[in-house]
Amino acid sequence: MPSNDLRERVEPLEETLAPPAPVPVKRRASRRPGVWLLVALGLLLLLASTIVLPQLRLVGEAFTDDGGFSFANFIEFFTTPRFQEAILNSLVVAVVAGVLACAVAVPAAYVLAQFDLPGRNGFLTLATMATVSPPFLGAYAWVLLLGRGGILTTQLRAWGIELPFDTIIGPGGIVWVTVWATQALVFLLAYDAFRAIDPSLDEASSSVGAGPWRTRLRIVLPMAVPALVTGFYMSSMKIFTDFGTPLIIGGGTPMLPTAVYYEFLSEVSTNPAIASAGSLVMLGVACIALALQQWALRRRTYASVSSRRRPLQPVRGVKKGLMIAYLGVVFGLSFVPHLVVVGTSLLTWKAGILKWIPTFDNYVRLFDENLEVILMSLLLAGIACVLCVIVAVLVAYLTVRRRYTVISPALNVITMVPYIIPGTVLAIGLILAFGSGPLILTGTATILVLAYFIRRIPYVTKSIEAALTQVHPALEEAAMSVGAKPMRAFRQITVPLVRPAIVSGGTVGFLQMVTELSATVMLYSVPFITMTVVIFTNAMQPASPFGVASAMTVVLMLAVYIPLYFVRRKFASVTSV
Amino acid sequence: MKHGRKFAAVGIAAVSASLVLSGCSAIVGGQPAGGDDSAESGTVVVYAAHGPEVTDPIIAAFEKAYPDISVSLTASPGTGELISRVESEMKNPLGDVAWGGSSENYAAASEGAFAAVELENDEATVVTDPEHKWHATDALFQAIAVNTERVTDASSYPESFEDLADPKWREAGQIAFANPRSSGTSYSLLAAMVTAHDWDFLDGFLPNAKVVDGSSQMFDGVRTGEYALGFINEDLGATWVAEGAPLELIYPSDVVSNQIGVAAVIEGAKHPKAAETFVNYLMSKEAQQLMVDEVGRRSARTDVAPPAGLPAADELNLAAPDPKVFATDKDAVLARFDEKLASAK
Repeated sequence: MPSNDLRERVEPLEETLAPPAPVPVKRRASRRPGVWLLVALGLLLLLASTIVLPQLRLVGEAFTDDGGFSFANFIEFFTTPRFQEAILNSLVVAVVAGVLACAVAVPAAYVLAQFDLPGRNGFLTLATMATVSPPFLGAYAWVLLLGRGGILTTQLRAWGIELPFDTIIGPGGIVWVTVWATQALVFLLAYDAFRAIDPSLDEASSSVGAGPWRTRLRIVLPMAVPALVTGFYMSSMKIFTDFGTPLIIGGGTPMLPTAVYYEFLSEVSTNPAIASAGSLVMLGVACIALALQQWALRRRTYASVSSRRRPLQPVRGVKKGLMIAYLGVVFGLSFVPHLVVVGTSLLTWKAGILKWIPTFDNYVRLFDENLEVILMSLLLAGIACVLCVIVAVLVAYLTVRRRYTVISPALNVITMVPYIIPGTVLAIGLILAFGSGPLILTGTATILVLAYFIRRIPYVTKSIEAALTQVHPALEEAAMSVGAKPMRAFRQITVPLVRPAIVSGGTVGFLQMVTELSATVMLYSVPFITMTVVIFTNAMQPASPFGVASAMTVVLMLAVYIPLYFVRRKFASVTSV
Repeated sequence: MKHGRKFAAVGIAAVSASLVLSGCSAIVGGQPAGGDDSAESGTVVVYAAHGPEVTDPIIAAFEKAYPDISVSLTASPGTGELISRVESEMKNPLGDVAWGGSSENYAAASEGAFAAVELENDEATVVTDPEHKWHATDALFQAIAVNTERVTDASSYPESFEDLADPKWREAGQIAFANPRSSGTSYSLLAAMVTAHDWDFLDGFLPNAKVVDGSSQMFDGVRTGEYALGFINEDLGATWVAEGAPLELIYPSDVVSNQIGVAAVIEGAKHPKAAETFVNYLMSKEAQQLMVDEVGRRSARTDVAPPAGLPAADELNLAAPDPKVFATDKDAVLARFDEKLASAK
């Protein structure tokens, strides 16, 4: 039975790059190699030309100077102070934000996993919602609240309360926004890890005389290390590759994604070769981070197989109150941006200045002027999502069941490549590969669909692969033994069995496609404009109708949370069966 | 039968490949319907680097004046994005008109991005492109903006660029200045201050400045009080002042940076006639009067007076940086700026 909990599918990173659990493959299963071999070759061609080729163009561009092979672009990149600063800032911000996100989320996850607290499901739902929030939402909302002239800052000053800082704008602001935006990822990973710890371990620990804190530090925390490593890796990579947040709240702090973006798309002076070199540097850092994560996981992996569910300990009084208060603060801060956006969408904005006059005007204007944009976003993400699921199912099947010696591992590796490609880098690669040459895709909807497809394929594939490893091949073989052809057995037996993974993996893929900004902002064109682009454009232009942008953000959140709600409900019912 | 299966498999692979590679644009809606050559009917696809406060009233008036032409508008977050888009589509242009951004930006665009066309209204504007690629649609000056809640003593307001190099601003540390690498407005400001003074002026100015990413951050930052001082496009500044923002706009006495806002017909446009009609309309007295009345921005025409409250152009000391230095070798200018910035830290 595949695990049906959506939370594990939101970012099924724990399984990332870990080889799928070995499934005994009988020669019988591949008795008809022809059919699947052709599918495999077709997929390989498709994925190589859409994923590998653009990155190779990027490499080519980065190593070319004056028409020949050269390291000049990299030398220039590494010796230019503003890029040096950008690299350093990006690394520091990523590490600090990752550490703080863990520091905030792990205690929260621990108390919820360990103690019998009211509102458990509520917190878990909030955490799931937080992991699929639009990425740049936090930055704008926090500037609005805590910038030097922010709503909260001004109000507090009026009451005579001095904040310990002048403004949230700056590197600290980037960290702050990132911590609250990514803590939920760490929280869910850590929660699952804590819940999975065999209760007899704690009992053994206390029976040999260890106090509760010693047990927590020596037994419980080490068991959660893999989740921590993954959580840290994910939150730090999120900000390392994020483009919108530093631009909105960074106050000019040089960061890699913005530096690369401006080097590629500035109104004053651009240098695509340097931008490509910068992209490769980002890619290199992402590779190293992933390698470190994998290395850390390999060193510290504990498995614990438990036959009994971990009991929840009762807790009362002040302790209980403090725990709930802590959880409330952590999740409250994570959802401040959402509340701010709902609030500002119901207020009047004039020339970009907030007036405290309630109105529905923003929504009226939104549906008058931007209905197409909403539909376009949903359509583009929808198409990309369907393609993603189809390809993911086939790739997962080929890697788990039909282990062709070269093709299957190649497919497995290629589908994982986009996992480390930041959105900005992906977009530049696609523009280089498909902006000229035999196949021109720039300016079409196809390039957006392609970008979404590529960005999400690793995640969707992994979640389906995980489900597939748990479906015994005997079922399919039984079908074939009574005469079903391989394709029919696949369609009628295997696919239905992994359907829960298809639905949840596909839904989460869809949510993240709808909120994609980093690549979209470089690739979109008329009339294929998405909600994120309109919101971002509005956030970046002074005097723009920010109320309309807020209203659109609310619509975007609905587009994300409604499907999420239905999938969760569906899976809750499946689990209880 | 066996062959049938094989074909099915090839089919699946082929369908998924072709869907990704080509099918989607057709499903989603594809390109705008093919070329029409009639002057006054059809569609015109406008790429704008202007916000809705500029595009909405003028497009509405255009569609009224030319009911047979409908405008399909897409807004870019900045001129850089706009021009990059036009350049990236050069082999297969999807837009007809680029509107917004300064003449310098358009002049620096790739050869073959914009079409050379002579339009009837060209001669009514203050300046025309010798190559006839860009067409002047507005004029934009920058003022020093003072946040009056941050700088409360009116007698200490700066009156010129020179005053901004005064070490007294270092304590406040708060003159917002967008990075001229990413902001064309800031590049003009840089050119103006270096022309009016010299490069060493930056040694006094930059330590007082906070370099931010883009012009929006500079404008917004002064309005919200994030920074005490900054520079602002005069039309936006005037709008904000009218809306009650705590701002004081000061035209520097030593030099006022300025740009000519332009539009252009995209080379290879699918609707060339409609595009010319649209660009010509942007320079018409009617559209220019809207630019003044509705947007509060200066007209590029000599026969349209500036918006109420803005000083006449001939009262100001307008900058005229040497195009040989500032237009042709931007990289050298920016490198020199970076050097000055690094030594100011």
